[in-house]
Amino acid sequence: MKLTQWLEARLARTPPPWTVGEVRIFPGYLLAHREDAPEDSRLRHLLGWEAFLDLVRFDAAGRFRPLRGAPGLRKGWRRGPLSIDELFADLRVLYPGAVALLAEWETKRLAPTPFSETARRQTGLYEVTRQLPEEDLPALVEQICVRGCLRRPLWHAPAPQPEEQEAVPLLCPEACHFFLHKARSRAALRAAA
Amino acid sequence: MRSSGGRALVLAGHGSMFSPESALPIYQHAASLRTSGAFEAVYECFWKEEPSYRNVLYEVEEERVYLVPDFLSHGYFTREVLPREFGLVGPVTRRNSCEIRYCEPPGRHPRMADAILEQALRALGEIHCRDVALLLVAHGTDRNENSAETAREQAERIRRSGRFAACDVAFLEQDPCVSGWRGLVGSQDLVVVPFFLSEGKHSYTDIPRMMGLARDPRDPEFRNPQETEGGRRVYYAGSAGMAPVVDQVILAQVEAFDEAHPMA
Repeated sequence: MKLTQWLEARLARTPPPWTVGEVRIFPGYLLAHREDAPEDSRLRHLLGWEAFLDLVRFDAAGRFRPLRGAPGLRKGWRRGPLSIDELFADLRVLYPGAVALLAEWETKRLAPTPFSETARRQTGLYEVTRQLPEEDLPALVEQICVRGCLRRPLWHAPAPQPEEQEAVPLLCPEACHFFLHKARSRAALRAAA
Repeated sequence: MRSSGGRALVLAGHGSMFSPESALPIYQHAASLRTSGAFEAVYECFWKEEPSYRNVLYEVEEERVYLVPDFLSHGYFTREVLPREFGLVGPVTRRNSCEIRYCEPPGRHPRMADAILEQALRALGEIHCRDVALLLVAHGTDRNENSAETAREQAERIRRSGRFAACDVAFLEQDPCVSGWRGLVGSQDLVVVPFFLSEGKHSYTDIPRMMGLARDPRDPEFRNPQETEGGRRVYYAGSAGMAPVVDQVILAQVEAFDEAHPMA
């Protein structure tokens, strides 16, 4: 089954609207920020991939959002009606890999990578993350992943039950670059102390 | 990764946690190649943004995957990081029912000279290029000769074309340094093309500052050409990787790979 078909079937299993991270999908398919109503005439109708990418990559203050799972998606826009292919493409821009990772997870084909393994693989700038003491990990995960990201770090703790209204829970199978960057600073501080 | 036949292009860029410009050419190349119809699907992935090199293959549904490092030359990322993160074992890697074909970076293809020319001609406008020298400015590093070598090869192609009065190469972090451009370039007028994939600190700030130019490209008062002492005029072009023709260079690298590694 192709991923677009899988997504369509997944959505059909639960009543709309469907929540994914900070967006909500309405039948049709219409896409808007979860705190906006798609029928609100004040919403800007976003057309084209460049405008959408721009929306996703910058917050309301114009700051760059390198981590797509971080909360802070701008409000005041809508997309659609979209085909299932277009919806899938938009979700790829909003939360890269989210649909594919969930499909793998639900078919038991997603094996999370423990942090020790990720760190061991690193060379160059991030090689120092190998020295991060294991007892420092929970605090970093709390700061970066729990408070700073909507994805669930499967590589650190078992996946909790998804919220019922969440159509596509955002999963994270391996520590991302953002995490490695922070872990590097922490490990360097430790080494200096 | 689930196979449904067909071929996919995976463009692997560097990305940045701080500079939004870094990933832009990769998005642009991907968007253009999606409309070309050459592939069933085109995917972007990044070292420092999302999706990561590690996660992108979960999304790929095609049987044959052309992995193109969207870089201008070989180096640490193309030789070490990408092969490691994608689990490559050589130019062709089989994984389940999928085949990953690891192509050369676009910057190494002979057609990359077209991208440099395109940027230079755009900066020159109506000015005849035979009267102007082209200065290609690359990063360069004493730790890896590949970056400099690729820039020199492209400059040699442009020199051989005879379209410019001269074509020279200078670097940010190795000799000849771009700060010495006055002694390096003989012509009165020159067009400067940054040999970078994206715009950013190097093209917007470092090169203009090291050349002693009065304005950088983000200055609202920036105009081509800029007059420098001695009446020399400098035309400042966009980075080579931002030229629209680069998507065709990526396609050319895919074709070159198939010629070098015919399908079984």
